[in-house]
Amino acid sequence: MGMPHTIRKKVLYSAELRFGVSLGLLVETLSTFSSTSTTGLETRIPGQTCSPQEMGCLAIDLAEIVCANSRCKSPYQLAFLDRPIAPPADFDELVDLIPPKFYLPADDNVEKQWVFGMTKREKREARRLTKEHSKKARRDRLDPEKFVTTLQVLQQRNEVAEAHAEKEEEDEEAKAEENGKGDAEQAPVAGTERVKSSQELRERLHKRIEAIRAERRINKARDWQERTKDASKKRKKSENKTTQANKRQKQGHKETGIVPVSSEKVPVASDMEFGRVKIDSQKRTLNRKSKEKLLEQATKLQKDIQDTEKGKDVASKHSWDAALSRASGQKVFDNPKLLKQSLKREHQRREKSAKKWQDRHDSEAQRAQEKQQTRASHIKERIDARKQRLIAKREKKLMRPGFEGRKAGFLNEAK
Amino acid sequence: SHETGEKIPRSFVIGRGKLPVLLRNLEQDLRKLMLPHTALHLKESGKNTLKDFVHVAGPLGVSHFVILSNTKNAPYMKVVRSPHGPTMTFKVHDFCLAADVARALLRYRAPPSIFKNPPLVVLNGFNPAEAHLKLVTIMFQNIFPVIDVKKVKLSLCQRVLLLNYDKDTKVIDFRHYAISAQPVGVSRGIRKLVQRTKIPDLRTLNDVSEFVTKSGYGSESEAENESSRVTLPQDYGRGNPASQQSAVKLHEIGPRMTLQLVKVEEGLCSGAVMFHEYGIEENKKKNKKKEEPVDDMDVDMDGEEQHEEEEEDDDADYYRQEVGEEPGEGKRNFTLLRQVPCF
Repeated sequence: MGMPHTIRKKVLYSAELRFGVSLGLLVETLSTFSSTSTTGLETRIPGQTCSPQEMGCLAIDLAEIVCANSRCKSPYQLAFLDRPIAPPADFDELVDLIPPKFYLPADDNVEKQWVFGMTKREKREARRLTKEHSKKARRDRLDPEKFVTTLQVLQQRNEVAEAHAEKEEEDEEAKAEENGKGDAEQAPVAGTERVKSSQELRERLHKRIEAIRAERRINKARDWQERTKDASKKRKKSENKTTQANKRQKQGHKETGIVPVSSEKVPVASDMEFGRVKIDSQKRTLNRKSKEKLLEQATKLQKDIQDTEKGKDVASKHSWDAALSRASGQKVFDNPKLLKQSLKREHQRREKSAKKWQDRHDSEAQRAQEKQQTRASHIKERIDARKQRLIAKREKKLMRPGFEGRKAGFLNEAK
Repeated sequence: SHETGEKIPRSFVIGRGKLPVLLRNLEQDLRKLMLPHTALHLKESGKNTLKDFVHVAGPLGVSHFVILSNTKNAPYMKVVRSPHGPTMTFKVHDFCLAADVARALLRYRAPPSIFKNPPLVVLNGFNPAEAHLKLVTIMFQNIFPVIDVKKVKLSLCQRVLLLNYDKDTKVIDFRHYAISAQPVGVSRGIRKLVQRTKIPDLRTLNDVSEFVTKSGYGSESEAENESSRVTLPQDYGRGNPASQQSAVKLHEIGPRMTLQLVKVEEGLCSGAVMFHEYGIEENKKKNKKKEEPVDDMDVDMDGEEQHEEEEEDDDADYYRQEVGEEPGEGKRNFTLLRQVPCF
């Protein structure tokens, strides 16, 4: 192909959009087109079940796109673009050209639609199923052995709908018989007459689909109501039984992880070891001895080591145990000197904080007292000032010119 | 860590004393190996003593040190658990840098994304009945974080550290690989189409079916390792979906070393010697010397040197016989340190 890469991509993608056919099919048709020989179409495409006429039609349409997209059109391309186009002969052939995705209504059975009240797990599951189904559908689309034309898909669906309708009819009959009605009315919907025209079939199919949808809506609403009731019940139960639930969780989780598939047992050499792995959550050690006790133990250990008879054994055993547990991340308190230091530090910290608290306590009391004092003094000042003002006001009246003030009494009067 | 709720062990890789260029490169390679829970660009000066590192390690949450040092005879590597932990001293017989491995391989691939997660550890041949070997396994298992089997993502386990112990020669092989998985049962063309993002080149083909059939059914190396096929429990990168068969392949990256455990001490480069390759009793004098200054590394190195010279007396005769020279004479060529192991 002499076309540049980008145009080739564009052609392929636009063709896919227009026809909904697989890329593989397109590549093949392009290659056949480029070889400028339309003979031997059947032999070139292995396992393909299209008719040669259909292939020819596709190739011609692709050629049209190529010519339209090429910048400089040769006279041959121009002539090709101006060619007279004949309409298709058979209606069925036309229908076959349209991919089933656009022609037929969507298949409801596959996708579980979103329902209000779906749990997270259900949503996840539904999403996974749709993903898997779409992947599978894509594979089937590209698989030459599984190729189905639009008409065939339509026929298949009609057959399925009919089988379903027949089954429903039988069920209704059975129920009617059980109820004891002799002359059971046969349901008019699942007709016994088989009208073979494709339009009738299609109409019946649509009606059936609508009926199923309506039923499902009702069921969904009912389920949701039930589920909300259950949820409230469950919540109450779970509040009472949290501890039991936790225990159960710890013992038997069934989530997907790296626990290997049980069918395959890889033979592992007996002396092969791997990195640290956490399987079950271990409880944190609740018994943490106080530092005093640890100090006692450490001093006792030292004494045992000093003891000449068994001292060496004790020392070596302890050093290996301590080394192994330290290497695995656990703390070992065997040095009495360090323990004493730590105890002393803790003691000092406690003292210091107690002292700080006492100081704060005292200073607060003192500050409160001071505040009260200043408050009282301010109040007193205000009262005195007021008194002075009143006295001054009174005296002002008597400060007439030539008047010496209020009668103060005799000079030598006994007071 | 969020997943396991346990502390993540962090490490410092340091060199003590003046290291030649090759050992400095080895130190850098070891830092890359310990990523992401190590200080890749740790700056150490000659004045920093071990005590400084210990004081800094506490607040930073660093639990392990890997210390490289150099002597006349061989480089030594110490793996230490801080702050009071045991010290294991390994003698490095041979080593190979990551750059050498890269030059030796046709397709060396170590993309930086694989260093974002810690490596897995596999230890082989360490008999747990022997206490010092058990200690080695526990130390290496705890240098890397715990894996929660239920919650871990398989696609994040991209590297592996292998340690193999040979009980005849008492030597530990230290290897570092990157893990990749390939889908099984498909031809090379399709496998590449599925695993890469490139659009394949169909220029040379006459027909699309040739793309599928040209390179044969199945790749060349598929017949080899039946044991490397696994059914994946989770998706592993492109083209390896869960519950499908994939072949696991290892690509070597990073340094190679041949180590021998020489000494295990109780404390941080101090304390009583719990295990010595050449016998504790014979080295008691040296041990006594060491116990006096606690943290000073220089004395340690001298002690080792002296011990080494003693042991090498037999080797000295052997050297004289073989080479025809006195040991110690002749050009001191540091490239001799680097002996690429062949296997």
